[in-house]
Amino acid sequence: MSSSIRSLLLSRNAMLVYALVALALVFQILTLDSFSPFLSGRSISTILRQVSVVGVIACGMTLVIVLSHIDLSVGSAVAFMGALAAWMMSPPADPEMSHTVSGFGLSPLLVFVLMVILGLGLWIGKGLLQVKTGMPAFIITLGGFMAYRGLALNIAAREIALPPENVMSRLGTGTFPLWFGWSVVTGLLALAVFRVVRNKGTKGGTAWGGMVALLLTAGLIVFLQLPHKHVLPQARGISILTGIWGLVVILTYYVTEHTVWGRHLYATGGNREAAYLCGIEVNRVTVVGFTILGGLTSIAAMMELGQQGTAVSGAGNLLELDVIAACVLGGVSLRGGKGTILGATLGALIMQVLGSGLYQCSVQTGTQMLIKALVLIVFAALNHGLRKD
Amino acid sequence: MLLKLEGIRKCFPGVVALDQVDFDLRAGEIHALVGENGAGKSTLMKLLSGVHPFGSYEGRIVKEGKELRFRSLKDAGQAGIAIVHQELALIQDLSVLDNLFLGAESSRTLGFLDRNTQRSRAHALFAELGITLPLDGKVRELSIGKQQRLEIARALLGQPQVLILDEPTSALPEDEAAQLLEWIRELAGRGTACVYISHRMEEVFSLADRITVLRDGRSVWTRDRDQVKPDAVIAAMVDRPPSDLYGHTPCRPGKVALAVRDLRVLKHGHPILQVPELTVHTGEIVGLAGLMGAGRSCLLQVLAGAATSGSVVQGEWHSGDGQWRSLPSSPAEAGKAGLFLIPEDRKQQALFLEESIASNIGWASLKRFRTPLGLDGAAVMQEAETQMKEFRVKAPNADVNVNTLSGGNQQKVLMGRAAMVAPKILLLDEPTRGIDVGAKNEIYRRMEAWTLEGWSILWASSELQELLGLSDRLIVLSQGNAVASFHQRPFDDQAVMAASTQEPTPL
Repeated sequence: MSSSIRSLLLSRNAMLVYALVALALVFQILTLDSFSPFLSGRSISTILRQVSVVGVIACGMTLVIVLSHIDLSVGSAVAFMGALAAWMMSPPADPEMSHTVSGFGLSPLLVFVLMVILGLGLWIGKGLLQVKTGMPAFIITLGGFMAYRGLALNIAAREIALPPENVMSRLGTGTFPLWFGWSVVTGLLALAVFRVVRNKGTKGGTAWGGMVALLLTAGLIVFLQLPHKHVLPQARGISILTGIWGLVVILTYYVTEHTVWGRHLYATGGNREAAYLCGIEVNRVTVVGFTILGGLTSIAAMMELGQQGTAVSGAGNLLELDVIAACVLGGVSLRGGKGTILGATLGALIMQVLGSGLYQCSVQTGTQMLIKALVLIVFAALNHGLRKD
Repeated sequence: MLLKLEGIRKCFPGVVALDQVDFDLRAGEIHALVGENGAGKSTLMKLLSGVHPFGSYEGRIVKEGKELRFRSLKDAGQAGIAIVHQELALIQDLSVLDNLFLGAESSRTLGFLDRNTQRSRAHALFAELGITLPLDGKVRELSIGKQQRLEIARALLGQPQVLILDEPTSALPEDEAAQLLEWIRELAGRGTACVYISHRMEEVFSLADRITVLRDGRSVWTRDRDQVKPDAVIAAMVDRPPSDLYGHTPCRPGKVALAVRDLRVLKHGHPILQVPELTVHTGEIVGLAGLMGAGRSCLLQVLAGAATSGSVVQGEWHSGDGQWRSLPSSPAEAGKAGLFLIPEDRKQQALFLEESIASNIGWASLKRFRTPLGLDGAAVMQEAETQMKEFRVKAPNADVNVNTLSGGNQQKVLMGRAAMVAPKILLLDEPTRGIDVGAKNEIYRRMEAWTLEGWSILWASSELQELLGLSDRLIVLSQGNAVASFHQRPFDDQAVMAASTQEPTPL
C-alpha cells in the first residue's frame, strides 16, 4: 500500500499537479493586491472556460500522437468551421442592409450537426489518405493547415457576427444552473464511495490516482458553485464550455483506458508491425483515431464560435501548437505509444494557467511566449530524463 | 596474461547482475563465455567494453598490469578492446563504406569526409580479412551473414587486441556460420584475443581454447576445452544434469489441419516462393529446413497473412474442411481462421518494448474480453499473469516493463501471447534464436504440450539439431522452392543438409 502511494506521489501526473499548484500559488502572491487575484472565483472560472477549446482538441490530439502521427490542421479548421457555421446561421440578405453577409439562416442545432459530420468526414479522409499511401500525417495535415485557413479567409473575408440571441453564443458564454453543479458533485462523491466499497479487500486495493482526480474535480466544482466577489449571480457555477470539456475528457479517458480499441491504439502506436502481426487492424485503428480528433475539432470550433460570438478568419491561429504543447507537457510522446488523456488535460491546464497568470501580472505578450517556451522545454527535458530510468 | 577481471560486482536497481566474477584472457586465445540468458554474460562484456563506465561496478579490470578505468566505449576502444554486439547495429540505408567508418570517420579539416583514405583503408582491411563486400552497396542489400562480417570488420578497424563477439552466428545458417568460425580462428591465429559468447555447444567446442561458465551472475569455473565435455558445461550452466534436450514423442497424426496448394509468391513479377502443396495434421510438428533466404520466413509470413508489401500471393488453402479459399490477406483474417505467427525478430516485429509483460501477453487477444462496457481489463491481466507463471518468466510481477527482460524471457512472453490466442495452427519463426538452454527447454516442452492439446505447429529454425529433434515431419526449402520432405524419424541430418543446398529443379 505505502509503495503504491509513493509511486502515485511520484507519478508523472502527480508532478503535473504539483507544477499546477506551484504556478497557481506564485501567481496568487503576485496578484494579491489586484482587483481580482489569481485564485479568485472570477479568475478560475475564466481560466477553466478559456482552456476548454484547447482542452477538447488536446484529447483528440493525444489519440493521434499516441498513434505516432500529428495533426497541424486543427487551428485552421477551427477558423474554417467557425466561419462556415456562422455563415450558415446568418439570415439571408436583407436588401436594405447590404453590408451584412448573406447567409442561409439555418438553425444552430442543424449547423452543429452538419459541422460535426463535416469534421468526421474530413478527418476520415485524412486518416484514409495516411494509411493508404503511408504519407506522413505531418504533410497531409500541413495541407489541411493551409487549405482550411484559405477557406476561412474566403468565407469570412469580413467578420461574421452571430445573430443576436443565437443559441450557440448563449451557450458559449453561459453557465449551467446551480442544481446541475451540485448534482455533479454528488455524483462524483457517490462514485468515489462506490469505488472504495467495491475495491475493499481486492488485491489491488483502491486506485488512489482515480480517487484523487475525482475528489479534486469535486472540490473545484464546489468552489465554482459558491458565491464570489466580482462574479455575477447568473455566472456562478460551471460554465457550459467547461462542462463540455469535462465530458470530453471523461469519455476519451474511458475510451483509451477501458476499451479494446483503446488498448489497440497504444499497441499500434507502440509497435505498428507487432500490432499488425498480432491481428490488430492497425489501419482501422488509425483512421478511427483521426476521426475522433475530427469530431472533437468540430465541437471545439463551435465552442470557440459561441464564446466569441463572431467568426473571423484569424480564429484559432497557432491553436495547433498550443494543443501539441499541452500534449507534450502532459507526457504524450511524439514517438507514439505513450501518453494519457489525463496527462494532456493537465498539460493544457498548465499552459492556460501560465498564460492567464502572466497576463494578469501584466507581462508583455512577447515575454509571455518566451516564458511558456522555457516551461515547455524544461518539462519535456524532465520527461525524457524520467523515461531513461 | 593480457587481461584480467577481478572480483567484479555490478548491481542494477533491485538486481545483483554480477557478483564475484573473475575472468581472464591470454593473448591470441579464443575464450568462450557461456551461460544461460540472464547469467550476466552481456553485462560483463558491457563492463569490459566501457558501456557500463568505471564507478558503476565494483572490482578491477587489469590489462598488462595496469588497471583500466573506462568512462565510455571510446576509452575501451583506445585501450584496444572492441565489441561486436549480438544485435546488428548497422544503418541499413547507408553504404558499406559509410557503415564501416561510422563513428571513426577519417576526416580532413572542417569535418569533411575523406572518402579516398576511407576507401583505401577499407580495401586494405577487407583484403587482410579475406572478405569481399561491395563498398558502395547499401547494407540493406547484403545477406545477414555478410552484414555480420561487416560488423566484425568494423570492430577490427582500430586493430584491437581484444575482440568480444556476442553470439555472432545466432542469425546465420549453418554453412555461413561454419565459414565465420573458420575466419574467427584465423583472426585469433594472428594474435587477436577473442571473447566468444555463444549458446551453440558445437561451436564453443570447435572454437574455444578455454571455457568460462557463468551462472546467476557468478563465475562457476574456467577450464581448458580439452578437459571438459559438453554435457559437463551444460550441467554447470543450468545446475542440473542434462536430460534429453528434445524428448520428443512422435505424434500420431490426426486429420488435416492445414492444407495449401499451388502457393506462389511473386515479387516484381518474379517468383520468390513456390510450394505446390503443403499439409499439416492435427497435433503434428512440421519443421521447415533450409538455408538463410530459402523462403522459410516468407512461407510462414504468407500463411499468417503478413506477406511483405509489394509481393503478390497466389494459392489456396483450407483448414481441414475441404473448402479451398484464397490465402489470408491480413494477420487479422488469418487469426480468425486459427493461424497465428510468432515472428523471427522479437524487438522489431513482436514486442511492445515500452509496455508491461501483461500487455505484451494479452494484447493479441483483447477482442475476446470485450464486454458491453468496454474491456474487461482485470480478466486480461489475470490470464496474462497465469501465462507468465506457466512459462516461468523471470520477473517480479507482470507490470514489469518487457524491455528489462533477457531474450529468453522475452521469447517466453511471446509464447504466453500465443497460448492466450490459442490458435489451431501456430507458426513459429526461429523461436529459440539467441536464447539460453533453459528457455529453449521451456519452449520445447511447451510445443510438445500444445500438440497434445491438438494444436499443430509449423516452424522454422536455423539450428538443425533442434529442428530434427522436435519435428514429426520436415519440409526442405531451397531458393524459394520446396525441394524435399522427410517423413520418417529419426531424420538423417546429412540428407537434410544435402537437400537444403541442392539447386531446385525448375518446375
